[in-house]
Amino acid sequence: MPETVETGTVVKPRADVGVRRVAGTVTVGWDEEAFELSETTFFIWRQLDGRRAVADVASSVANYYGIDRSEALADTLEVLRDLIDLGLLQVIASDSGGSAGV
Amino acid sequence: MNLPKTVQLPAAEVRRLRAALAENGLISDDCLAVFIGGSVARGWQHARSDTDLYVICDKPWTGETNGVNTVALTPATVPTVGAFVDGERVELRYWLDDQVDQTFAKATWEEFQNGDSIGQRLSGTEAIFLSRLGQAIIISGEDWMAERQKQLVECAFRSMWTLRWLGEADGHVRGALGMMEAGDHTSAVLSAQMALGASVDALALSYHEFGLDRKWRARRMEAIKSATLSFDRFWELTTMQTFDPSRPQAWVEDVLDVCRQIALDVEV
Repeated sequence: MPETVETGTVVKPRADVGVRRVAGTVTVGWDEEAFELSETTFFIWRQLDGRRAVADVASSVANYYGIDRSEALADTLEVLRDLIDLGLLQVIASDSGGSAGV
Repeated sequence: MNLPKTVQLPAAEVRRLRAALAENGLISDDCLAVFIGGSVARGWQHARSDTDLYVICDKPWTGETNGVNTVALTPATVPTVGAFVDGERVELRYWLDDQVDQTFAKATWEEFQNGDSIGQRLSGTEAIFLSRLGQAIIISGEDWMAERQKQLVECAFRSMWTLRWLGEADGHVRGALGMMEAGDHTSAVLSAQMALGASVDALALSYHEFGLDRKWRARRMEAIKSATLSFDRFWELTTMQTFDPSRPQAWVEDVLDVCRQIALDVEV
């Protein structure tokens, strides 16, 4: 069953996913398959510590990029859903009650 | 230039060593450069340490030698001499300038971008030579050394070996995960140790700590003062201070998290 991601969900990169930062380009994945991350996606990736809920991550995005919180949440959810679809993230908790109040 | 600090020998000491080497027939006036590499150059030596000396010539060394290092170059050997100079044990390696050119030719950005991103063509001896070139006490040949150290900083060697260590770390991380899944916790712990070591080596290289010898890993971690992994945390994990034999998975997961953080922070 596909994983669902909501504001209270906690996700983190799968343990077997490697990261490389070469000449300003960030790629994640495995030897046989790697994906390039945009700057924003990498910023979000770095926030995924297995403790912070999606809402908290979106709050960091809003603060860092100086954008509206609802816009940041929508962008963060879209990015995380894409990364989960690619098999790069795992859901740690379905609803931790993210505290950022996005 | 981004090279680690080396020990500065007083000029009189350098002159004394140069004269002693010449008196013992171990260097000649037509050498292009002579430098000390290894632990002595970093001030990390102990009473039983050899002094590693590199002698660069443009013609094959004709003096007496008593050993060789093998290299994947032409010629395929670097003559060596183990000797005592002023009561100190020294190990000299006689490189040809052309061998140095060939070594650098394996570490270009073109090589990095066109298939050898982890420097597989560089043999261990060649890689150690390059790493020691970056951490040298110059005995003679300042101009040659300045040119070659500039070349070292500008070439792809550091990036190649950083990627090599990160790749090695990834392999050990995957191994540790698989072993944990299989219930083989003892092997997982050893794989996690190796993943940590390779990750730390990549981290140190990212700070331009060119040393490759694993026995100096703790010294390198002390030197780089990394925000990603403090020396105290590194030492706590390396010496397994938080390892609970009844919960080996917890320690392994802790270590793998540190490895992931290093991979996130290291820029190649």
